[in-house]
Amino acid sequence: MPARSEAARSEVARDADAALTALYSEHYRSLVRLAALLLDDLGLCEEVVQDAYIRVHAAWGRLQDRDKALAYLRQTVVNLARSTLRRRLVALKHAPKPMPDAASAEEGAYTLVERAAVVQALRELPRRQREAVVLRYYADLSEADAAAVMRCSVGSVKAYTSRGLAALGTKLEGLR
Amino acid sequence: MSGLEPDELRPDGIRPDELRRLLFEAVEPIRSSPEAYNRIRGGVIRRRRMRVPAMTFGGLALAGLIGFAYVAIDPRPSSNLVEPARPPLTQSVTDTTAVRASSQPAGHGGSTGSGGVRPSATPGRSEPAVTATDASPGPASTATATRPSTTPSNVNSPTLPPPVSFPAKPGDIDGDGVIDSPSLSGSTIVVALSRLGTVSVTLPAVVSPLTASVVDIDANGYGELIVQTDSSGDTRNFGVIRLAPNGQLQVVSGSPLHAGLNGTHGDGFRCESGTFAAVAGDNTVDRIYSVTSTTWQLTKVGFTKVGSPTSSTVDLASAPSPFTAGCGIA
Repeated sequence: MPARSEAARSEVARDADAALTALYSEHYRSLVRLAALLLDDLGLCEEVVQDAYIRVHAAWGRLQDRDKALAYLRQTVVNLARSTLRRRLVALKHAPKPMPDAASAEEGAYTLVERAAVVQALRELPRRQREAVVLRYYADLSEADAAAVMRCSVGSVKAYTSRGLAALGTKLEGLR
Repeated sequence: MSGLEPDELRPDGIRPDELRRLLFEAVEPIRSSPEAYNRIRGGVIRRRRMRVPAMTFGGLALAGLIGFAYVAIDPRPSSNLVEPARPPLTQSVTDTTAVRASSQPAGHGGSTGSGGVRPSATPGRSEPAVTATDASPGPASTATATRPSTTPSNVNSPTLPPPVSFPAKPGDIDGDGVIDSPSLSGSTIVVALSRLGTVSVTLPAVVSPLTASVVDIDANGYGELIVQTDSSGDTRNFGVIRLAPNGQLQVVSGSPLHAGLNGTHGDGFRCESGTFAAVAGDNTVDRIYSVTSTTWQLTKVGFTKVGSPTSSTVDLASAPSPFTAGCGIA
């Protein structure tokens, strides 16, 4: 019995490793961009996404529907972004960094993002409105999927989206 | 891409497709870091390594909490260990005298020859309620000479060996668990104690043949001898004799033990746990008696009332008579 469970664990670990690689190559960049739109501090977005990948890998054996791994990953990114915003702490700050800090290749890109008017306007929105707008119009989620990620009702997503669009229009008009 | 919805086309808002375009353009410069994948792999390996120590630490912490809770919630009662060392006999005047004598320098305590610091047991020593009326010189001195040494820790009974049980077994006077048989010689009661030898005590009067019982009234591990001393009418009177710390028999004065119906008045007694109840009743009508029950305790100063007497009415036509002798008296 122990040998069988050990073999099962090894198989799950192999699956998780393969899935991690596939999810990384297909979705990492889009998730970093999603996090960049949700977070106030763009320097944290990669760290949040990386931590989300690590968590999904750790929970791989408990995933009931592995076809929804991307949805689970996206929800983890949103949750971690929320936590980061709420506490202004680095996600999993207790975990030591695995490698020495290398100069991020994206620092210049983040500067460009910071300058974008829509990003500035987005940051002035309340958190829930910002999440609704980003999930609906950047992540391209349906209202139901966005509601599932935000853990609220579809009606709330509609309201947040409507108010967010109105506010963004006003702010962008002002920035121009 | 989801289509435009009517409610999103607000005059003062931004068009969804325009917002979508702006968002994609804004984050377009972002590229994934070349180190990102390695960092994720490093995090996976680190998490795997930390899982076992974290679970071990958590288990140890939980075990510690459970142990602490057990100790905090269920403290071991210390009274169980202390209680046997505190027989009520320790409160007696004789004890006090003995301890005081033991603390004096050698030569001041009245040596008996076998133990230099053991005080001499002086019959008739001043004590308000407990009186050692007599002790036969011959047998008593023999018992004294062969008495085992006192257990140092038993400060409450410096000259008596510790009892084997609390209360003492019925019939056991010297606390060794063996029944000691009293006998009557004139008005002298002689008891062959199984571990202290033969001792005796002379009473002013004792009913012959001997009507007696040995019960540990005060639950101190040494039984008391209850003896019928005399009668007045149909009421029998009983005296109580106990073993003093010096190994001699002492008559406890002021015994409230009476039993029997005498005219319209009745008396009785029965032993309870560490106390005894003496009842006295007077006939009111027919066979109905108004009964008062008083709880007594045998202490260092003799018989002491405990609490307040209780009153009740007993109809001897339907209830058993309380006016009888208890405590093992036939």
